[in-house]
Amino acid sequence: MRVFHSNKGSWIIILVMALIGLTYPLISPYDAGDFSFDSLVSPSLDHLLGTDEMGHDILSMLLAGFRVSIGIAISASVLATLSGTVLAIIAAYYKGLVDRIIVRLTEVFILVPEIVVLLFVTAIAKPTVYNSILAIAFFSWSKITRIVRAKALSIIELEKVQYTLLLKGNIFDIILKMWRELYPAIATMFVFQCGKAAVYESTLAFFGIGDPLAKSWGRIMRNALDCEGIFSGNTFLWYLLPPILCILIFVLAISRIAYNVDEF
Amino acid sequence: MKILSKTIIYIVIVASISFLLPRLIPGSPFFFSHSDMNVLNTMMPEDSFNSFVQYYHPDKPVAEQFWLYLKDLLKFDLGRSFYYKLPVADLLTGCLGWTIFLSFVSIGISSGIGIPLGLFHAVKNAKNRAVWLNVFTGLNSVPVIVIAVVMQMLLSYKFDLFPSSGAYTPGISVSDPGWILDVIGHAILPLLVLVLAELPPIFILTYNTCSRTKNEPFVEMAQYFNIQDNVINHQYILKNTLPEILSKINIQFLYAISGVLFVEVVFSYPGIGSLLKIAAFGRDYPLLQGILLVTGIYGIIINLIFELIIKRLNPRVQV
Amino acid sequence: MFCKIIHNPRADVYSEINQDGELIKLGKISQKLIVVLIVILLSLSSMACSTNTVQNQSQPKTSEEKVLRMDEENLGYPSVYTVSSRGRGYLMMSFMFDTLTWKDEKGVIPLLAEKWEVTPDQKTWTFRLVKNAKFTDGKQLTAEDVKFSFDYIKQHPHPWVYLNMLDEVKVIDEYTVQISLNQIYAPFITDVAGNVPIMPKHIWQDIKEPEKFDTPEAVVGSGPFALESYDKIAGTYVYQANKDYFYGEPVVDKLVFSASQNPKEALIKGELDAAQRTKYGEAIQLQKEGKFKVIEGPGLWVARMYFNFGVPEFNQRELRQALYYAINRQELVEKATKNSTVAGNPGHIHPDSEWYSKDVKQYEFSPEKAKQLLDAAGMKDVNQDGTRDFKGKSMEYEFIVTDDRVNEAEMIKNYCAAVGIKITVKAMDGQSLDSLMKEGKFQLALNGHGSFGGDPVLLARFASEKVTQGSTPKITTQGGKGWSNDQFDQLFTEQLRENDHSKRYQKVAELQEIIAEELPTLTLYYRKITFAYNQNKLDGWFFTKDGVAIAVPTTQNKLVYIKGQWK
Repeated sequence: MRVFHSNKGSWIIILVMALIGLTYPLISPYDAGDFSFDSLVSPSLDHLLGTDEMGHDILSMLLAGFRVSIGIAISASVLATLSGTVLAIIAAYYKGLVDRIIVRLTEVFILVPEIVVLLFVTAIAKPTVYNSILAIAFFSWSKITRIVRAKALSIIELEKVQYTLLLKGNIFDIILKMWRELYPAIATMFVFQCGKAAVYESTLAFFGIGDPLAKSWGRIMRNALDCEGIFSGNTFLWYLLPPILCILIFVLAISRIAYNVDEF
Repeated sequence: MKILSKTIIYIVIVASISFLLPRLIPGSPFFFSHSDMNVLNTMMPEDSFNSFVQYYHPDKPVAEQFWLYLKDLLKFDLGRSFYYKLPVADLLTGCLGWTIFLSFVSIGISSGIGIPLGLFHAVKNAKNRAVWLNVFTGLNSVPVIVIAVVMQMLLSYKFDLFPSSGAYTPGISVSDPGWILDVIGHAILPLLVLVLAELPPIFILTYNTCSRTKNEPFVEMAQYFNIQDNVINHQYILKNTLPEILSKINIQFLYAISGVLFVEVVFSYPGIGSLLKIAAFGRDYPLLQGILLVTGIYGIIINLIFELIIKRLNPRVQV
Repeated sequence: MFCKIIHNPRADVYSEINQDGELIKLGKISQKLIVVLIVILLSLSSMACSTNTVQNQSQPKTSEEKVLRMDEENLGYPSVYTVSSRGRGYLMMSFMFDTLTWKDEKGVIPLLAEKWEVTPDQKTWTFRLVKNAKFTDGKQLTAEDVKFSFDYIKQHPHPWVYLNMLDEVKVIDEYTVQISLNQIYAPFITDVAGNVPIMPKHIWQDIKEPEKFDTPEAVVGSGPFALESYDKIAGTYVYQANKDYFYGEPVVDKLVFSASQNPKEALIKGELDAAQRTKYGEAIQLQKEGKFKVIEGPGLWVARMYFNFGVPEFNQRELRQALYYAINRQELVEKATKNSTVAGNPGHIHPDSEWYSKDVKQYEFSPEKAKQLLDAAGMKDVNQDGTRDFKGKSMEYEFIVTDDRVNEAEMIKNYCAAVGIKITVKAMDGQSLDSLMKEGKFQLALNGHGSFGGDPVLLARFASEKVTQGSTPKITTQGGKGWSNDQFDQLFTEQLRENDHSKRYQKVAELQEIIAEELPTLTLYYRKITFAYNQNKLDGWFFTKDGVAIAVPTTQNKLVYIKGQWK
């Protein structure tokens, strides 16, 4: 809880953002898929952020983006953290050959640029939100494994863990014993990963891969950039800037929390 | 020797991943067994299907496929691109130069600025240190792609300072006297974006490492001996932390390759990134696989170079 | 990378305190610098190789070279068989390869053939060639080359040229050639004589696989330009003027085509001298600002929704009609295309065409009518899940589109959902979409094409395979099971043999009636074509009557570069 107090602002931002994502159908002024308005209207009371070139209400799309973008970010991170931690503990527990294999694998995943792996997986699988999540999780686990394994290796030497090892030696008991010490590292990595996943999601949309009709921040950004004359007037102020700001605020808040959870 | 054998192991693993990955992803065309070939045929254009079958031999057992794949690799045969209808190896060799150019120059500039700046702020208690740290930690979390888009929007379209895209003016040829200048002019904006993205992590890690070393007993000892400050800074702090900094820059370098690929897409720079975009969009499997392999091996070679340098600088480093 | 540093601070102090550290360090840094420099030089030299994939001869540079820069997509190596089968691909090739006749803003003009005559039965054409046409490798262009080209293309089918009506090509003398047909073909002069590229016999006679012929020899022709270089990855084309062109020396020295992300900004910045692919709204804005000249041409480009008739329910006319009622074409034009298009006509032919008939069935936007039609056809939502069912199968379809038409797809998806038909949108690149459609590997597709003007032979797109006469370029044709209608086939063949204009019009009008009733395709909209250029460089641009070659709606007519005015 110390963590919470030291970074109240960031936590509040994240919680509010998550809340918006959960409740967006209630607070959104219009349906995000509704294109029945005039196109490229400037901000007004009816449309706080105006409308896009097709007549969607931009604010509604942005709010829908909270659900899609944050949803993808969190679920991909859960998946990555889970698999990364399990592998790390397996490596730390069994040591020897198993450990070496896992370490080599994580190293290779750092050597290959992540965006290549990401596009590789998403291009080959069908372009759905679930596959984007899987793809992001797929190459993220290696970094978590690296950090958590290092932590676990030092914790496993602690006396109380050594006792458990002597008594039973079951891997699940070890995990239970180590959890208290391991928890901060895992939490940091999870938070960190959320920020990264949000960036990857927008990158995928920027490349034009994934569900073409999903209303994520990356997709709105892409549409704004494709919109003709976006830079000739002030349109970019309420069309391009808000999704960029959303991503930025989310990532900045996340990284502040991550830096404070544990000095990384 | 140990480094070399590790490098070979890495290369084998990368090759195996690029072989296995497509065959493990559900819904991928590699996932079909031989009896499903007619289903697969209904998903792909005829041309692509034929070159697919020709290169991947989906009718043979997996072990034999792998053997054939390795044999092709040794001959530098990476298959034919579906989109360009050209050998993947030719396409990649044409693009790799630009990507190497961008990543080396940008990392060089970022390290050239970041390491001295980090050292300076670690040893001197300058007043504005907190500002610098905050600016860099903030900048550190801005996605490269956002920096790229904003910079292109401002510096190229709004203020018309730099060319908006490409690596050189189309139609200008290498023999022209202005070619080098033209290439440099086109590279400034992408490099600026990359430096903005790579500088913060290098600064932060130099700062952190040097601050830690500064408080080590041997530095304090030197201070008691009244050794000059700049000698301490260079001889004691920088020299002792350089291997550690380099090993971290190594990792930064590897991450930076991803950044280079993004920036290439935004600025239509003719490197691997632009190729990757088309490959991913057109579901060009042989090209994707080739890019995975080549960027992986590029990363391995970078890693090898760094390890050798670090070993040179500090023979006591245990690899 | 993952090294552990053994810390031994004391050792550090004592082992290094007396060393001449400065010097050693400098030495190391300069070593590293050299390594980095070598790497950069190596990568620069490899870039140098990559930028010039095809380097033909480059002539000594004069101080003021007249270079014209334009935007264009990557359309493949511009030889006869390797270039994209899209109309603009044909034009990239037409800079090097001449045809017997050609078109300007008023209509057909002689090119390689200085004059021609036809026998009264309209079946035997005699062409007299110009005597001063030369290929860029210096060889004379003769009747032998013309005969060879016709025979070669008949032997190796080309997506752009249809030669089924060809009976025989005879060489009368060195500069006279006689072409006899097995039946009358109304659009012969424009679509055949104005379309068969004349290739040098001495180069092409031994080529067995023209699709793989991509050497510098493959682009040797008699046209106003020669290819200087083509970058296959970036898609940059550089053409060098052919000073000895028989029709007149080109007014530009160099043409450069390259891809541009934002042609409008590039034009303003001066990176381009003319922009072909600006968005419509941007072109209008440029026109208002007045710095550049903008011309608007005939909309010989149509966007259509394609049905795969291998899906049983698409053979039900009611379903196709219901979808046409359900789609608000006017709103589609206004919102998805930002008024850069004109709403489609059920009879398919463009309203500005001289062959257009307005007396066809009309489909105003009406979801109610759509629902009634679907109900009547037995497509009801039996299981109450919000999606209609047909013979126990839920009506859900995959709709493939190109990535730049996602807006249209989103709207169509919503229109269909409103009448109970579920659509999932899949976006892909144009090339994949074209080939999937050509091979019939789709359910619903949205695609568009040019070659949509001039002679009504374009309606051959709806004739069944039984009809062996008349053809259009094989672009975005749909494969798999198609639509067929005997009455349509018969009328189509009749009109092709009709020489009397008003009688032919009557038949073409009847064809449009059938299309409007049956809807083998949904004609969604016609694109308006604009071209913005810097008149201080080259002026004299025009839109060709009925489009260049077979109705390609662009300004890329090679005559511009000969007759235009360089400022």
